[in-house]
Amino acid sequence: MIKRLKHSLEYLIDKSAKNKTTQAEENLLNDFVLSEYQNSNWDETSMGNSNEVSQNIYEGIQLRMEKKKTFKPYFKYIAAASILFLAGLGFLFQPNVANEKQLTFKTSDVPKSIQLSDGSKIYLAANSLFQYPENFKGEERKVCLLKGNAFFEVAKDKKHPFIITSGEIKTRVLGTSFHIQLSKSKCEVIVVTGKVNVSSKGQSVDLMPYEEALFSDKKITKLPVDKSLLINWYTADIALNEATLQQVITILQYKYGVTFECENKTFLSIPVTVFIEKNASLESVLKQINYITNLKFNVYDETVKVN
Amino acid sequence: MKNPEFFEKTYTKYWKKLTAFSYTMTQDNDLAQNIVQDVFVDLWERKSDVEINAIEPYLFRAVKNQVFKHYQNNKFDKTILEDKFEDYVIDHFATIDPEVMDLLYSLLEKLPEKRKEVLLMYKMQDMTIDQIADELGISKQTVKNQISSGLKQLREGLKDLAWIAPFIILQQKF
Repeated sequence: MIKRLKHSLEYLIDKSAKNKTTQAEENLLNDFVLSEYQNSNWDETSMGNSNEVSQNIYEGIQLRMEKKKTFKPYFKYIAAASILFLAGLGFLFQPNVANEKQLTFKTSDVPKSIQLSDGSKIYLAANSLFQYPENFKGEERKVCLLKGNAFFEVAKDKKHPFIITSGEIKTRVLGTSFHIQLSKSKCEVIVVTGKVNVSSKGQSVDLMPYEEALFSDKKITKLPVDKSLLINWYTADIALNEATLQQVITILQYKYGVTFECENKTFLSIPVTVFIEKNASLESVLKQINYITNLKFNVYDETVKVN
Repeated sequence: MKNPEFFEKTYTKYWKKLTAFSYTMTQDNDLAQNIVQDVFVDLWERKSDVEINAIEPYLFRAVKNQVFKHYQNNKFDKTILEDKFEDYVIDHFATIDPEVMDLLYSLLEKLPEKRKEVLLMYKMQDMTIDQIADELGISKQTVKNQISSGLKQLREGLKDLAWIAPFIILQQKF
């Protein structure tokens, strides 16, 4: 008779795979593996550079997700487009939603970001409301900024244009990044990289980087943009050195989705130096400015009065 | 899982530990990385959500199961993990569940009486070599020899369960 060799570990693993292990045997296996887990550490010499390996694994995960079409380009094509959407008009507007399940994303005191199913990333300012489908279906990727400001990094997908509805205007991304701001009386779209088309009832403009479309009184006007304002308030801490109060206020409007009302326009040219942390609250920033300038800021909902 | 942000966070937090873990067991970089990749793709495709506080145990189990699957299919040098298992069993002799200890005792039964006694004193009663030598009135060198050959024999037993399996089956019938 030939003696069949079977290691005790193999015996236990085989038994476990058939769910035939006793509790004690399963515990022994588990405890053994757990001790391996607890004692495992990254060893650069045998395992290589951890950053490279991480990237390697992640890329493999992405590739397989793309193949299975459950997870479209996630990191790869990010920032194909980014737009600042400064929006406010008609936030009762309901976009036509086909069969897509719609989700809303709302911010209160602090800005937040969200990743859509196509890999596009949206940085939503405070006090803003954004609507998007759980999964994009059909020819176009349609989303809606219902209130406030947002910065968009649209994932590149030539076959499926990305369309943002904000109030009465539509912003169509032809492959790019941009900001959108919607306020009660107007809507602004500022392009950071790539090319964007903005349209409303028969009017249409194409925007290139550092151009802005202003929609006010039912008209779209194209304007150049103050580049100093195109800092990324959405992801990073902001250091403003000797900026005018006007500039600081503009950034705060983007970041927190508020409107400033200033009775005395001469204040606006006061030079200020402020540091705005990524997750700072509006109150803390205003406190800082108050400390420097002695100006009083009163916050009423989404309006800040300056005295 | 339908939450890319949570997915990304989970990946960032655990990929390194999991890769090191699967490498420790397989000693094969490519296989270790593939295992981690499979586990995360599975996580993404899961229909039901994994509870956030249960995510680490979930990932641990998933990697463990993958390693076992590859072990069964001979996808890596099995002796590495087997050696580690032998070490683990011998090191944790005293704390292993009595139920599984039957298996070990049956191995111990095969040892010569003296060798078994020395090994049990050493492993189960946590006595030092000096203490054992005193207790049994034998030289320290003899104690050392008995321990080392006892462990070796035990290890051999763990390596080959073919002749012990029937014993276990009998035990279970009662």
